[in-house]
Amino acid sequence: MKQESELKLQAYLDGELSRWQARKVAAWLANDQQAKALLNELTIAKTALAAGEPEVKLPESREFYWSKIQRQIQTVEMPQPRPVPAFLVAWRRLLAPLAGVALILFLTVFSFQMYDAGEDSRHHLAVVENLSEHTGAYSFRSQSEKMFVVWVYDRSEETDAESDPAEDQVDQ
Amino acid sequence: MPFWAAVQTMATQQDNSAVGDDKLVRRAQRGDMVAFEELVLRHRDKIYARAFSMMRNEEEAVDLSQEAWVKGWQRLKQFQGESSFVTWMTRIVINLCLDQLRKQKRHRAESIELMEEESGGVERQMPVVTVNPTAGLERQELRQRIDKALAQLSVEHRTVLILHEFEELEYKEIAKRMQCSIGTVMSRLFYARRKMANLLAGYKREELS
Repeated sequence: MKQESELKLQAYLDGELSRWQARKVAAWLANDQQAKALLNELTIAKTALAAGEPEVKLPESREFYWSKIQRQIQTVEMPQPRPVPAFLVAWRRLLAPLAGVALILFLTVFSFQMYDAGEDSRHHLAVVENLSEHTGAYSFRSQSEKMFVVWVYDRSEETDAESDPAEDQVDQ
Repeated sequence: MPFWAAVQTMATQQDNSAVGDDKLVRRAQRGDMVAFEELVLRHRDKIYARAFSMMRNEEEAVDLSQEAWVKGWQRLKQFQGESSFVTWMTRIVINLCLDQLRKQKRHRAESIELMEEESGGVERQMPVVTVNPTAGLERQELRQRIDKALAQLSVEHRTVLILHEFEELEYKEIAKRMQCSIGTVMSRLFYARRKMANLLAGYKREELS
């Protein structure tokens, strides 16, 4: 039997033929035992399958099965982070080096200002505290000359030279 | 979950068991997860069974059936009630299985045997089964034999039989889903049926001998 005829026979069984074609096949079947036998075989398979679809049970407990589905649904429904626009990504790439440069500039300007503000204090004269009754001390510091000088002197001489009789009187 | 919340959930689930699918679907469409859970619990075996019949692998069938439920939840608003909810869900799981089978086929070498299947290589030589080998069988026994026979068929033959006999899809619809011509569907179905009849006859002979 030709394959085309076999498939026509099957289409007849499945009700996929037009009325006219179905009538033609029915007439053919009435006169062809081989076709009839083949149709019978196809019918056996069809009816067996229709009546005996295997029953399969889920091999997992209902709670476990549902919990996995629920978890997946929650994961799927979690709001996804918005994609960052391309121009922002490019800016972010530039931002770190720019911030570095800005910091360096700021520190440079700030240190120059500090340097300028300290212009007057490049030469600094100060009285050094001294706990001795007999000696006094002055210090002189020069940043430009990189020097620091301390004068130590005898206090008794200072008192003799600079004593003010009026003051002495007040003290008394 | 706090005790009272758990008690409340259990009570809601018990209430839902008396509610019809349509009502549960409408509630689930409004975002009621408890209603959707009831639908899952009600039809989980059917959806899993379809996945298993196509994949013949427990682990894959569980994964695909779960994926189908997640997809079902996501697309629930698209469900218009033209078919029953379980039919709609079955179509989703079938599509996922077909996708998976296609992926597997891409990795599998096309053997000569596979190419011959569509033109009926071995099946053409098989004798025609004249006596019904399933006559007088108990329903359970018949199911077992059919299950055994389905496992022996090629993926293509098994799939076309499932879609036609269990899902009652027409040739045109099967062709669309399997992404092949109607002629190929007819040919595959013809040889799948012939092989099925012969396998069942073989089991009968084994039983008698």
